[in-house]
Amino acid sequence: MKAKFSEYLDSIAEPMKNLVQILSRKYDYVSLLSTDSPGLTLLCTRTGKKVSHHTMTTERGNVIRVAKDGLYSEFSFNEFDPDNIPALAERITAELDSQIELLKITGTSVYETGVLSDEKKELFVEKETEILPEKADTGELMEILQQISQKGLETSGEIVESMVRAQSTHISKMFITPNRFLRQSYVYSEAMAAVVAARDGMNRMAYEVVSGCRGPEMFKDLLEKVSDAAATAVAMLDAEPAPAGTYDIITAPDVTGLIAHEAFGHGVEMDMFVKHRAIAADHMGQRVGSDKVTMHEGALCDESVTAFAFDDEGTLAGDVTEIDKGILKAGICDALAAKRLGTEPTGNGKRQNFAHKAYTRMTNTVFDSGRDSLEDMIKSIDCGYLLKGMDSGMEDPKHWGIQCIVSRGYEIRNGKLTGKMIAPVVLTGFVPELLKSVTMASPDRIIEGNGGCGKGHKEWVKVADGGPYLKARARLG
Amino acid sequence: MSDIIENIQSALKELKVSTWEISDTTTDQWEFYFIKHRLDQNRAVRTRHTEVTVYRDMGEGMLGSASMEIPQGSFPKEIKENIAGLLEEAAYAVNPQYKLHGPEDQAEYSDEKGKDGISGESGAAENQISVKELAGTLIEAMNDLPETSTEYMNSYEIFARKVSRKYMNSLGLDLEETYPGATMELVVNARDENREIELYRLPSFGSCSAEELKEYVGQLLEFGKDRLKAEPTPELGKATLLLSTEDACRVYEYFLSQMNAANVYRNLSTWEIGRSIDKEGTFIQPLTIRQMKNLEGSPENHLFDGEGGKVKERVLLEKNVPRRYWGSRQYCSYLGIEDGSEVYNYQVEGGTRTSEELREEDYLEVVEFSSFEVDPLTGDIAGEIRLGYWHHQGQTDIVSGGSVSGSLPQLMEGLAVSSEEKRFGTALIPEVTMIHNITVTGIGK
Repeated sequence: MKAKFSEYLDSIAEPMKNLVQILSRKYDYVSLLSTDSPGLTLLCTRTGKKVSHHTMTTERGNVIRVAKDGLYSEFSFNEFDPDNIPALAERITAELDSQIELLKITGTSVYETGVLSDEKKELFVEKETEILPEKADTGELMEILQQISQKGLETSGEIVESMVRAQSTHISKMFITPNRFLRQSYVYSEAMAAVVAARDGMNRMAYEVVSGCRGPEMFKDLLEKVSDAAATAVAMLDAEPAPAGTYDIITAPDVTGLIAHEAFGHGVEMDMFVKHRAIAADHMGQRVGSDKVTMHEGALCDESVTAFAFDDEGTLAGDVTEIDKGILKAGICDALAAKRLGTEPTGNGKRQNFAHKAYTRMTNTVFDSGRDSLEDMIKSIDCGYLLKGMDSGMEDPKHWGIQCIVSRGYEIRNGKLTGKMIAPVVLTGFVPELLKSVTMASPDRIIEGNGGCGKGHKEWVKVADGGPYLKARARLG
Repeated sequence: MSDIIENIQSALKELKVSTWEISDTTTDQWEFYFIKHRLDQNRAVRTRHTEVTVYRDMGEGMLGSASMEIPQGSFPKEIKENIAGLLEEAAYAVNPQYKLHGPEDQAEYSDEKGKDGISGESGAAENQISVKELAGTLIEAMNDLPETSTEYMNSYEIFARKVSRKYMNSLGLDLEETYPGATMELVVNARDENREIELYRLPSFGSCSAEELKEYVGQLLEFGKDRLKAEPTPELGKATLLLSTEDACRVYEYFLSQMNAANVYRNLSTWEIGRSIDKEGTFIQPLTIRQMKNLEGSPENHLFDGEGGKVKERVLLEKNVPRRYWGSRQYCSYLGIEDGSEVYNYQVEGGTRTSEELREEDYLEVVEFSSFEVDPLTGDIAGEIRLGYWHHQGQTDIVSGGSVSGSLPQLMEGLAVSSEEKRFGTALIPEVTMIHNITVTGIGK
């Protein structure tokens, strides 16, 4: 079935077009993004259950962007009377004028930016889903989560918790300018089974996930995966601390995705080029990885949690080849940064929600696959680790540092997995050095989008990343 | 248009919902984004979020619940449909019975005139500041920094806000408060002939004096200068880590996590009331952690938590002995704590030795990590070093690169803290926190 576009947004479309028209008399540029995205979150643990309709991206609200004399200003709101749009327009201009008054008092100068283009375009997209989160049978879904949780608990007497969190959101967004009227509707879902094992006061956690541009029907897929998470959590109780040093490593697709995201994903967000915060700006056309490294970024790259048709600035979704056989080719760009840099936006202008500013943000960030088997990779290593389980990471576009915290590493000695495990593992290094060390890539292509991505330490948005197994060399601690 | 809360209450009454909660938050925020000192963009945000939770008695001591945000602009019919849906869904989220907070739990609250919009004793003066005044103070302070041609602001973002929140429930609790807040994203550059580096911070304030902000940024500019001189961090193996920035809060958040009622109830923490966490009597530092109601300068000075729980000063850990769990109403109730609440502000008491005395031994002081993390569940520590000072044998080397790692449960006995205290956001903690025997993976010799 189609994920039906929001009736609420349809009901306010004409008043909002009127608002844009009124504001266009005063400003050089006006756009409006309206959102209406209901959702469902279910939580089932050993000791309790929870039903909520709040997810990371549920929202209903509006943001107006205007430009005057080179300055871009925005007003975010979710309380208004659609029958009195002139009053709303007055409220918006009064608030923004008050800010301008303060800026004059403080003697603030403006980073002047040209007027964004407003080419004529109409678009209406409703993607397929089996179930809508707002119409889902909550009882049936909770029963499935209960089964998943129970299966995890029964794996071992050392399991103290088996927590299943499942979320689904029905995104509807409407973008209006004097010449553009874009509407999209799609459902994305994600679920995680996190299993905790404990021994002598020490906890270890492992998890398995599902995610994608589908409805809550995907939650049941965790039933097949939860036992692996439980077995891993128990095995991690015997893991040893990571011995510091530089090793040959194989990254599982989730860790490959983390590296893609932290290494070059953030590094080529071109709003950072405007601020001179990204070293990648000085290395376009240069080698930054081995021949085995090709990396794509864009909402069109995969039907994931971030597979939108247009971004939060009304730019259509794209697919950018950032690195081609080791050569840095292109970055990703929001509309304002593109205007400032004299380039084109790539469909990467995203907001945490209607109340937040748009920045250049990632969507799907993916390493291309290769032809090497995982078995051959393992055989090729004398002393190293197979890294699995993405915990967290941190970008450093200015200096090309990278920090990835990985749940665990499986020891490889003389071409074989020994059965020994280290946990946790901190992978650090210099991005080009790490990518130039990539010598093998498997044919796999696994992309997941659980959790969120921040810019610095805020502005959380949905992203997805992944790719194949990669063999590289890195510093572990 | 009638008010959304009136419409929700009407629907609850019509649907005969006997137990419910409503929370309503209005935020008025001004935002200014700068590239160097030129304005990139200005934004104004005026939002309201209204959430409702309905409860359903399922018999045999069990209680169902479900919650959602009622979107602004919803018609009464939509609100009623949504609440009817929640009532049905509550049957699928059934947990052991517990009682919501009632007016009796806030007995002292009315004496504090909280409904007059005073955010605690220390919040009264701060609350008089308008969003425009607060934003103006921050903009002007940023125009008057001790920048030089080689150490300067790359970019910064200013968020000045006033938040009004209201909580009501079916037992007659009806609370509200208004409080100011500010957050800043600061990116500092430093450069020499060969390269340029940056440092990043995201501090929050309850209010902010220009002097406080200038001192904060001034120290950051100094750090920037030092990072230019940094050499690769040597392979130290085991060393003593000294934390003197907000990163130290991550350490104490692990302690708080172990005393969180939900984690205790779910067997994710084994910390017991009255039983010292220093089982062998080997810890260097007897640690005391206290929940605070008001902390001067904190952006989170609240009278009540998100479920109407009274926020007050409480000793959580006393000389390494857990005294009290904290957390949500549900899990506190399961553990027999009827007057618990969430913790917003906390204090970690200082030790007996001064910062200067602690600094007499060899140590690695890291003032900038990519991200310093302490897993609240496992206590695993990890962080890539962006700027550190390796103090050894009377000399100081400025270092960068590599990482620190370890397990806090295993390293707790080697924790030492200074007698001086310092506030970082919502935490008043020792100015210096030392962790002995942590693993330092270097990139140099």
